[in-house]
Order: sequence, then structure tokens, then C-alpha cells
Amino acid sequence: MSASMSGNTASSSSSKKSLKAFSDDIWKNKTAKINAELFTLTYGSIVSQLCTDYERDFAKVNKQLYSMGYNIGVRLIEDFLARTALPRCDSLAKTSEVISKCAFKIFLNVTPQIGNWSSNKDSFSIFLDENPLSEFVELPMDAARELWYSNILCGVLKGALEMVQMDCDVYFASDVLKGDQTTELRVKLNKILKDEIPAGED
Amino acid sequence: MPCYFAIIGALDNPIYEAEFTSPQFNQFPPELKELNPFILHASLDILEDLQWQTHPQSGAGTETSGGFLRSRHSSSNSNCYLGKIDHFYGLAITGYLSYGNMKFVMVHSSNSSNGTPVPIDDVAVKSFYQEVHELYVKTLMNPFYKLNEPITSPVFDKRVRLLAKKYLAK
Amino acid sequence: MDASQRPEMTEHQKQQLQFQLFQDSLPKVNEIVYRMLLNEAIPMAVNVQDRLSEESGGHEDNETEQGLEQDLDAKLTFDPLKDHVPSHKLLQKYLTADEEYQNKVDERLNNIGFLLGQKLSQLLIFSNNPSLNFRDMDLLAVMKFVCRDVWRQLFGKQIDNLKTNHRGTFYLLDNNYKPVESFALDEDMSQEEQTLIEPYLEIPCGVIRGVLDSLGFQEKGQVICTASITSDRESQKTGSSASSRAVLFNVQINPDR
Repeated sequence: MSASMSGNTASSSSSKKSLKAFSDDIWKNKTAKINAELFTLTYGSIVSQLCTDYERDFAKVNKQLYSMGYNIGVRLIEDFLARTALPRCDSLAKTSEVISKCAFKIFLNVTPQIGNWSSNKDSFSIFLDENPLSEFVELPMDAARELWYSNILCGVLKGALEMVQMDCDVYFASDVLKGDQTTELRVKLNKILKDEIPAGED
Repeated sequence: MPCYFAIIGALDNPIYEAEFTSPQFNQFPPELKELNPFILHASLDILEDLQWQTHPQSGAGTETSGGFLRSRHSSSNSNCYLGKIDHFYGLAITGYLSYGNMKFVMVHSSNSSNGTPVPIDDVAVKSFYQEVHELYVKTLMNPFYKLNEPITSPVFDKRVRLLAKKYLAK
Repeated sequence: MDASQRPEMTEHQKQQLQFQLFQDSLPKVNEIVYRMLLNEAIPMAVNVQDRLSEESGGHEDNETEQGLEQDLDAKLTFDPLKDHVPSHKLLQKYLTADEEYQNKVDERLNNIGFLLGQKLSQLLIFSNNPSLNFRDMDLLAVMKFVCRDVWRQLFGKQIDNLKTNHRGTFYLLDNNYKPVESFALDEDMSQEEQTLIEPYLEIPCGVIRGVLDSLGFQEKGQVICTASITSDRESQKTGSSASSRAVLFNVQINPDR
């Protein structure tokens, strides 16, 4: 059903529009939804427990969240591909667009901005104006320095991109929770993987 | 009028306290200032008694208007407000009880020192409590805040003071 | 939904409808990300246990033998996926671990549920649900709140059956427990499968404790909640899919001191 939209090589403005409409339709009509606050509280309880378990060693909490995200990402991509039937992206620009307009929209009902491209176009930033994970959150002083509260997102993106043969570095560059102006997620493409068994699934 | 406000936990432990005064003229007399926490704690017993009385407003189902939009601070917590629960010389004490047994209490003082009881503007005071209640629930949603622990967030403090200015500065 | 039916609605139904509309108007996310988050907490809890016991255990070897080299490496290339273990291997680990280890993982999950329950209950109460009236609420009413409102939030369905002995013991039966819905399980579960499902029952047990705690049942050990998977007679009778699994939650509430 998405063939007409993804198959043609229409001008970029119309394809942008159709990708948005396409995602809106999936979100509105083909998605089971739950209360965002429940999701926020569930994630908050997990982070809170991790901070206790690791005795507020936030570097370890970051790592655990990343790891957890990765395990989700490698499976969430299956659902995403099945749901959208989108073809392989032919450029990183296209990938970034699918991530913001499609993936974030369908899963979290937000559409972050893409920007801050590197000159050689191998890395970009995702600016999260809204972040359903961190609603209500106010970091205590000690956590504000080291904890990347939403680090699970990096893991999810890392895992998902790896499953479509893209080896990327994904990390937070800033977070409004830490007093920064923006919440910025950085994605850097290292290389396109050959069709091989992805790491971690051996 | 100067007020002293506190949130007391389910185990009678202090969660938050604040004094609302305006710098020009409304101050607590120093001898009263120190007594505030004691006056307030003395009224907790009364509050606890009230807690177990069936409230005339509850169950009547009369407060259905107001719609569902942002209904979080309309009818559901309207019977949490207990009004004036006690007085101490010229001071009045009002109370409010959350569902998790958090006690919100306030000592109201008048500007004059002639010993006449402070008049309480129930509508304004009730609104103040309800909005603080909402702020409290929002604070509770913060994963780093644990139930029954003191609230140290400067954001919460700032917002409560803004509400005090809005509703209590008269 | 049909407007022509509205005049016949009772006041209570009207309130319920308003509440439903209000709930619908709240921000939403995709159900699948929530389910995955909830279920991924189980292998995560195993991973934490692993890392914690590594730290207290073979710490010294590392430091003397390769410590320096690793430190340098870590500074040059920071790999957040270093020592990453995929979920299925973590679950395998849980299965083969001793009971003490399993208990620690279970406790961690139970605690996550507890934190969630404490906060969720306050949010639900504050959201003006017309079927709640906490002023004159007894224990049974609180348990009904758990079965109806809390469960509907968590799993999109209510508890199917609530039984009580009126002396503080409650049995809550969920005929189709959502978190294990997609698990491929045999008709007769092996001991292994049984063990593997147990940690998936911990979070809701914790949620029940948390809800009760936030409503005044706060003493240590006052609320005991356990759960077990039962053979699903209900669905076998009706001949529906064998994959649906019934879970029985047993809640024991001791009176105040």
C-alpha cells in the first residue's frame, strides 16, 4: 500500500509531505495506543531503580539504558518495517527523514527536527523539542552532571540502524534536563555493513 | 496577609514548608514566627479526626459540570478542602487533605494585632490548595522524587510562591 | 458514542463518558513501545545482577592484569556496547542461575513495579475518575480500584475475577495476562518455562504493593503479593487459542498494628 508513495522519485517537497501523511495515517488508524503518562512513569521507575542499583554511578546507568535500548531496537525495527513496508533508504538524508517523520511519529507521536549536518554529510542531529520519556523529570544535582536520562533512545536507534546494515554512533550531545538549550541526539554513520550476522545476535 | 504553609506526610513528617510574607509591611511578628510549626502541628490531630468523617459533599454527585477538559483540578479534589479547622488567638488555621493522606496546612495571620480573627476567603484559599495539590502530584511523578521525602526542588518552591502571590496576597 | 442514546444515560454514565473522553484526550504513545519496555525490564534486571556480582567478585584480576591497558582503551574509544549481552542470553542466564540470584532479580523487578504503582495510583486518582470516591473507601473498594482502573491502564483490560475471604486475602485472576501473551508456550508448561515466566509476574505484583502503599497501607510487610500462572481452564472450555495464559495474583493485607 505504500508502494505508490515510496516507489516514485517525486520532488523532495511532495515526498516529504506524503511521508508525513503516510505516518499520520499509520498513527491514527493502525496503531494501538496507551497513555503517554503511563509510559513516562514506567520508564521513570526503571531509571530510578537503576540509579539505586548502581549506587548513583550514572555512567553505569547510562550504559545499562543504552544496552537495554539496543535490545529493544533490534526487535522494534522488525515491527517498524512490517508496519511501514518502506524500502531501503538510498541516502543518510532519507534515513534521517524516516527516523523523524516516521519512526518517532509512529512510536512516540512526536516529530523531532533534523539538522546540524556535518560538512561531509555523514552525521546529523535529532532535536527533541518534546520528549515523552522525560515529562515530569527534574534531575537532582548529582545526576544533572552525568546522567543522560533518555539514553535508552540512543540504544534503540543504534540497534535498529544496525539491523538495516548501518553502523552508527548514536549519543546525546545535550539535554534540556541538564539545563541545555536543546535536547540533541547525534547520529554518525561509520559504515554500511555487509550482509553479515549483526553483532550481538551470534 | 502573612501565611505559613506546610505539607505534612502520612507519618506526620514534614515534606515542605514556606512562609509567605510581602517585604513592605506584612511580616509575622517574630514571637509568632517561631511558634508557627507548633501551632500547625497542634492542628494535625483535628485534621486527622476530620479525615474520617464522611464529607457532606462527597457522593452527592452534584459537581459534574466543568467538563472533562483539564478536569484534573475541578471536581475530584473539591472535597479535599476542609476549610478553617482551628484557630489560635488571632490566627486561623486551614487544612486540605490529599488522597494519599498528605496534609496541607496553613496558618493565616492578620496584619492588625488587635486579636480579631482573620477572615478566610474560602474560594481563594481553596484554589490555592487545589493548585498546590496539582503541583504536588506533578512533583510526585518525577522519578527522582520518592514518596514521603522532603521536597527540595527549587522549581516547586518557586511555583508555590507564585500561587501564594496570586491567591493569598490581599 | 451514538448521540441519540444520550438522553437515556444516567448521571453516572455521563460522568463515565466524560472521563473516557478526557482519557482519550490525553497524550498517547504506541502501545508496542510500552510493552517492549516493560518486557525488556526482565533481561535488564538480570544484566544488572550480573554486573553487580561481577563488580563484587572478579574485580581484582581485571585491575592487575589488563586494568591499565583497558583504561587506556576506554579513553581512546568509548564503546557503550562493550560487554553487551542480548536479551535471550540474559534470560538463559536467569534460567540456569541459583535461587538466590533469581530472587535478587525478582526483587529488583518487584521494586520497579512498586515505584510505578505508587505514582500511577496518585495520577489515576487525581484525574477525576467519577467511579472513585476515596473519602469512604474500604479495602474492598481499593482492590476494585486495582482490578478495574490500575489494570486497565497497565494492560488495557480489567482483572477477570476478584475473590476475597473478607479477612484481608484477595485473589485476582487475569485470564489473559498480556505480558506473556506473545510467548510461544506448550500446552503443558515445562519446569523451565514455568521458571522463565515467573520474573514476568513481578512488576504487577510490585504495582499492587505500590498502589496500596500510596493509599495508606505503608507498613513494612503489611502487603504481601505473589502470583502464579495457572492452567487456563476458561479458554480451554471455550476452545480459544491455547496461548492465552491465566495468572492468579494472591494479595494478603495485614491489618494495622
